[in-house]
Amino acid sequence: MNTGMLKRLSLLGSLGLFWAAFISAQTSNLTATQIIEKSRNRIQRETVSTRARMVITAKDGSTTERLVDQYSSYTGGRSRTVVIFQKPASVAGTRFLTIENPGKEEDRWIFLPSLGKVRRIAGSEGSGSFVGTDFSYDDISSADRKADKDTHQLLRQETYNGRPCYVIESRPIDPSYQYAKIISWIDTETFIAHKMELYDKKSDKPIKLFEVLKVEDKQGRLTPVESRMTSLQKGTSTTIYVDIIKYDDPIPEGVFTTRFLETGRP
Amino acid sequence: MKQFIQGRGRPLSEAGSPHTVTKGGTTMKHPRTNHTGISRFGSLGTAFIAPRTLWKALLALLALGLSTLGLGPARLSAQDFGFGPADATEASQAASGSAVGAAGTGPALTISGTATIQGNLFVGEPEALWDQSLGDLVYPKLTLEGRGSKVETYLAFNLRPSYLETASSRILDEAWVRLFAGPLTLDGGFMKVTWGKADSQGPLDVLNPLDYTDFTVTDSKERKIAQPMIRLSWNIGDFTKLEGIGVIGFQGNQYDLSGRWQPDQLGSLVAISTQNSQTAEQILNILSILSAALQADRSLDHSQGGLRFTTTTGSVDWGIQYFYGYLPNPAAKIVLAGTFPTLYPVLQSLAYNRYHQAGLDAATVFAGFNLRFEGAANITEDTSGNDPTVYNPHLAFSLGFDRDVVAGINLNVQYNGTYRLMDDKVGPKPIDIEAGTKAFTDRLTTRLSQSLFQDTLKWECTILWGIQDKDYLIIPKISWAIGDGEIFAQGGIFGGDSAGLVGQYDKNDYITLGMKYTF
Repeated sequence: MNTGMLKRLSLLGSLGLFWAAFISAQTSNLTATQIIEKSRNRIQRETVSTRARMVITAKDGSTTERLVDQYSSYTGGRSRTVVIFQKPASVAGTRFLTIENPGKEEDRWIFLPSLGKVRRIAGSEGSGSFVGTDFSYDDISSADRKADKDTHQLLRQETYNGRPCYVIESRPIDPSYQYAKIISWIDTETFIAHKMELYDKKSDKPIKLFEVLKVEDKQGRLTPVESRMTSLQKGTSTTIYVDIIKYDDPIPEGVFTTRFLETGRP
Repeated sequence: MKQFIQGRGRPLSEAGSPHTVTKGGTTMKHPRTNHTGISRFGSLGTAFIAPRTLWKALLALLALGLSTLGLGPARLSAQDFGFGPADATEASQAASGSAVGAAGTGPALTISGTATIQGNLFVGEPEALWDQSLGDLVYPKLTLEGRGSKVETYLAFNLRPSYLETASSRILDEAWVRLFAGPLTLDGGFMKVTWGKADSQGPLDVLNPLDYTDFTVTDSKERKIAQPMIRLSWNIGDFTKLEGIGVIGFQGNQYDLSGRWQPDQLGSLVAISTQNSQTAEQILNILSILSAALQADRSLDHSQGGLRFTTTTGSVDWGIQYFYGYLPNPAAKIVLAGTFPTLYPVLQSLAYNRYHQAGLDAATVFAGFNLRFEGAANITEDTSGNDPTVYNPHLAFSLGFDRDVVAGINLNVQYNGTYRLMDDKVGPKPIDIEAGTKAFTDRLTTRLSQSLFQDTLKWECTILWGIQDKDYLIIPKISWAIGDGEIFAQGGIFGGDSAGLVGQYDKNDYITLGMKYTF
């Protein structure tokens, strides 16, 4: 597997959370920025453990699958994440560790069975494909994207799939960001982002579409367990199925070490 | 490539009868050789006592591990942490407990592997593809992994049919048992262990010899030959580790003695030694010396060992290590025979030089670049530099980086070099085989790679450039993934100075076509 793609895995677990808003609505007098912040910061948890299937659908309808486990800890004022590839067989056993350092660059390591050792790695290009899926690295890391990195405007309120939603346009302040703008449909009650349109910088037309397909209550938290990103021009899509998700499950400290990467043992 | 000189190191063979090899005062029959002419180590049924003992020890280790695991053929599936194997998702979903021990307490057994069918077409020799035996075309590999609560085992079999015929010891690609006891980890068996930070073949990666009998094999781990080792690792904190390794006996790098991948240096030794030989028996004896030099010697007095300490300071991973072992390439002792004035050189023996290595390495990230460094001082027993039969002490280094540059294209660069100390003490040819070689040699390896179409199409191009040797090797590769299958094509273009490490294979340009299923 290309290590460049694997570098983008660190925020995988946050992906589902990002799209999952479940805080009760206090909708009156909220600005667009506040709505975005509530949508992104709504889940309080110390750890999250997930097993997710990513089904990648090609233009001709054929599919391939990735199976990925992720264990994240948010204690101590920083996030630490281990990602383990289970499928396909060609990358099974690949492990990836990210440790956030407030105010500094993240530490990232990867263990590739074919290399037989742990290797420190850098971040990756935001616009690059995330392990061959229709998600980009920017899409994944948008889970932790600070609201003040964009300007937000409430366009209107409307119903989407039977749910009342704010429609908010977010334009990045940094012109090098991958998209010209993102328009989000955020539930006025749960703050789940049910749908997002991502716009191309050159054409200013939507090039990707994100949709939450299924939401379930997991340990008292509304959690999207099925979501899809479609590349509109390419005609491809990636659907993420969250097979297992556990909030606040104890994760041994030893998991977030290079030793675990090497041996699979905390 | 280093030339071979003889030293005070382990004498592998001396002139004797054509099919006997003297080791430690015991005369043994020559182990069988494979189709390339290179003897393989430790074949069961040879007269080697040490390998047989090792096999028993290994089997005992495996039995211990397996019995600890209580392995049965279809028993799934536990580990100390995690959701368990991929196929255990349903069971895991049903479990309401923590991911810690989520999959239960029983052992886990995983069977995986690859089946590859490929053919090598050498430019100018299209008929060679069709001349290959089935063994050259099929490369199945089977891996069994067992994981218990505090133990795991790994067995990898390289089931290439040609190995079944000529090199049975290579069938066992790796076999080890690993025990976990708090901060300590003990593992032993036939292992491939990587030391150092370099992506491939850095100077600190000294524990396994490499197989150079087929340059179409480009995977660095695939080239490594597993060695019997015992390793004890002490995890001191989360990111600090001290490990000690003992390698039982020694085996040098493997070279093709007679085929298309025979290095010039070996060919020169054969030429030197046979041009003045008078009888077939003498010539066979010389070939016996060469062949024996590539054998493994598992006697304890030829064992090797090292210590390695690794840790993380800030955003820098670094390590230091000490190793005492043998240089992986043999040294030839060449003497002048005959009577004056008609003296001629004769290969008298081959040996591997003992050496001490002190090394350090570091890796960090700066401005989006993954930076890596290794440095080592290799101190042989020729500390004065004037022994023509021992390699001079030398320094070795590796500098490397990689980065995604544009459109997902990854650039990986590694610059390796060695510098011979006391070069002015190198003696004349042909007695001192280091004579005439450069004191400083370096090599630049550059790889560009990219994945396209949802990771289904991948291409890469690797260029090895011998800066001092003035030679090069270009390896383009493209692969197309179809589910768990893959179709691939790879090329090898050798060029430059014909005396260089890769330039000497100028006539071996090749194209490999194949397909692989990974399960």
